[in-house]
Amino acid sequence: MGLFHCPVGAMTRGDEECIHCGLCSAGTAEERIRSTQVIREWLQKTEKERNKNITIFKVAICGKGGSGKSTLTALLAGALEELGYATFIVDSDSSNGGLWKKLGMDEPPKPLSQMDESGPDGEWFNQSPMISTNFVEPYVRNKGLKSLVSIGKIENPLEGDAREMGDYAKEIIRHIVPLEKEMILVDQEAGVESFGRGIEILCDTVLIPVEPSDESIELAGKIKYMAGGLGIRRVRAVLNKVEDEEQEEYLQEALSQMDIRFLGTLPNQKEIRSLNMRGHGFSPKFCHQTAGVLTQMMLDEAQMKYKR
Amino acid sequence: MNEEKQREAVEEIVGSLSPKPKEVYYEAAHGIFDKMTMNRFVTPYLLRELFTPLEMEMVLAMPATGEELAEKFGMETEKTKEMLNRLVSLGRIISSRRPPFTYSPHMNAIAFRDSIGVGLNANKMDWMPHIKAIRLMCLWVKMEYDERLAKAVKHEMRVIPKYESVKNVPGVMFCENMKEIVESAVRERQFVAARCVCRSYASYMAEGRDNPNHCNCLQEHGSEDGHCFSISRQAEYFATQRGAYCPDEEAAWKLFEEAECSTAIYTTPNTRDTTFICSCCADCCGLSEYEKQGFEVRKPSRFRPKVRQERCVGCKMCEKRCAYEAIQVVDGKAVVAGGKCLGCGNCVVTCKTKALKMEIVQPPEWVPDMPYVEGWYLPES
Repeated sequence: MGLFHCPVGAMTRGDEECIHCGLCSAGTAEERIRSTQVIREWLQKTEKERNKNITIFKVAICGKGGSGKSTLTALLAGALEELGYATFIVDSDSSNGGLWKKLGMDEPPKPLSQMDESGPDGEWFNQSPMISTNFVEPYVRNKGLKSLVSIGKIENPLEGDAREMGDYAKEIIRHIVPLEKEMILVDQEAGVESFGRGIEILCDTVLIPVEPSDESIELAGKIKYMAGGLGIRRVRAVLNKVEDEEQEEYLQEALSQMDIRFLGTLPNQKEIRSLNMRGHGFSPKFCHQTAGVLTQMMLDEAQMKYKR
Repeated sequence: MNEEKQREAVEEIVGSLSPKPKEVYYEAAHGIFDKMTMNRFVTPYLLRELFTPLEMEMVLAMPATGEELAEKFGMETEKTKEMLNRLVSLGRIISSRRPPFTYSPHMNAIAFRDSIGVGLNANKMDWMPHIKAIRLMCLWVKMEYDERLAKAVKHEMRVIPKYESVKNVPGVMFCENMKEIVESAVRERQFVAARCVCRSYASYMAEGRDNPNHCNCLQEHGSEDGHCFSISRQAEYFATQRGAYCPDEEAAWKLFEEAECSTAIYTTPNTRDTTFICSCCADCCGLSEYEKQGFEVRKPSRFRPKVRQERCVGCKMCEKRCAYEAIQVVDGKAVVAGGKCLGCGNCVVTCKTKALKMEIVQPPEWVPDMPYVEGWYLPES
């Protein structure tokens, strides 16, 4: 007897969702145990499919220039590593070349925009399905569970037939299929101008680092508005450079007025600045201390499991 | 209830125990419906009010399609289907959503009760001509406290906090995020709203009429302003099979806002897969009846309000809004009694000074992937 409903939410016996567990008509304890086993197996088998609409596969990190996009990307990647997730990071921000350092890599990846696709160097690029392990050095750099590719800068877009940078980024993000326990992170170009060029729409989640400035709040609002228009379900803000609780509450309130959910605040500001100043990488331990909780919160919201 | 009590109650409702229901009702009671209730004496009397003997025979032959039943009973297919669809529309049986349309009896007691009520309301029917069935139904689902039963129904449902109370709390899972649930259901056009069937039951039982103002927790006068929400496949079922009200985006958000502002408590099956969310009040709700007797049917949410002492001005608004006496003002400051709190967020949303703030107090596993299956319970025959 269940008072209210079927455990898998089928409307009736034999309905589409019915998994024929027999629980609703189980007459004996043995029958009930058997039904429970059927349900348990079904839950295990269908876990991925059931959660596919809420799982995080591809994350775009967007925000004002200098608000901490690369810092957040690197911290997130490190924290995810500690939680058992690999990350494939696409650096589409041509204005800032320091992400590889923050990730603790020894050298930057060679920009994909400098690759000759038809040459032997580029064959791997068009393999299908596109998965992170297809990418070869020097176009990818790896450190721990983190991989980085960079789109690079086109010196003179009027010269040659090089693809637009945005096209490269788009192509990768559209086609890449995350492996099991892997997440794609895109460090977006600064500002709202690059938004709407089609990268975000390929992502299921947008993270916005927000600093205590009116401009930053306003830009977050614009991003949220545009993301909504594009049908992106999950837009979350991470507060950066916050000095006290009063600032934190003010920002939270301002964000929630614009219907942007708050994911957490980056602590250890002094250490972050110090590491950034010296061009040092963020160690996994530091990432975990700084962004571990907010990363867990992000995974919780998407009902994803992680190593504790 | 013991048989003596059931006997008396049935007698009071139907007038006289004789003539006894026909054999077919006992057969159906034993074969199908007795599994759902502790009050088995009532079952055949209830069934007699809900089904004609022929209909009862057909229910016994289910699950089956209209064609199969027509053939078995030597009737015209069209006529048979018409008869079955009428029963579906009245909520007495269920039909699958797509061909081949298979008809089945209800398998869950409260779902059966709700379905009967929803059927009458959806067809805009007066309940009074059916009042015997309604009263028998209320009797049928009644439970007296019993440890084993309490264990069986414990945490079958779960509370979802008011969105407003957790809007700034990081880590709200999708299945706890009212706004995202509604958003995604509306986007997929799988969102229907129904008026509170519990209030209809309470109102007819107490006043002998449908009084939309029987309780003041949520103003509802028709399905258009109803606040019990069905999501995904259940919404699809009610929309396609029962002609339920599917609000457009604007109307859906209006209903959501109204539910948010009320003192109703969002209640959903205790699994991560959300198929319906009722906006339950403490007055009419079938659940609160059980809770008053000590059954912990509803599992609290993962959230609890934390009082920020320096901000609390002791206005007692929270105290007034709590249905469980879980928050009280002592010496001018609000104090939360953790054990009583269901984490519904009703006190948090109206706290003018924002002294109350929700905190996550349970890990994600608190909301099971595996529903309450362990608790399914069979009364001994």
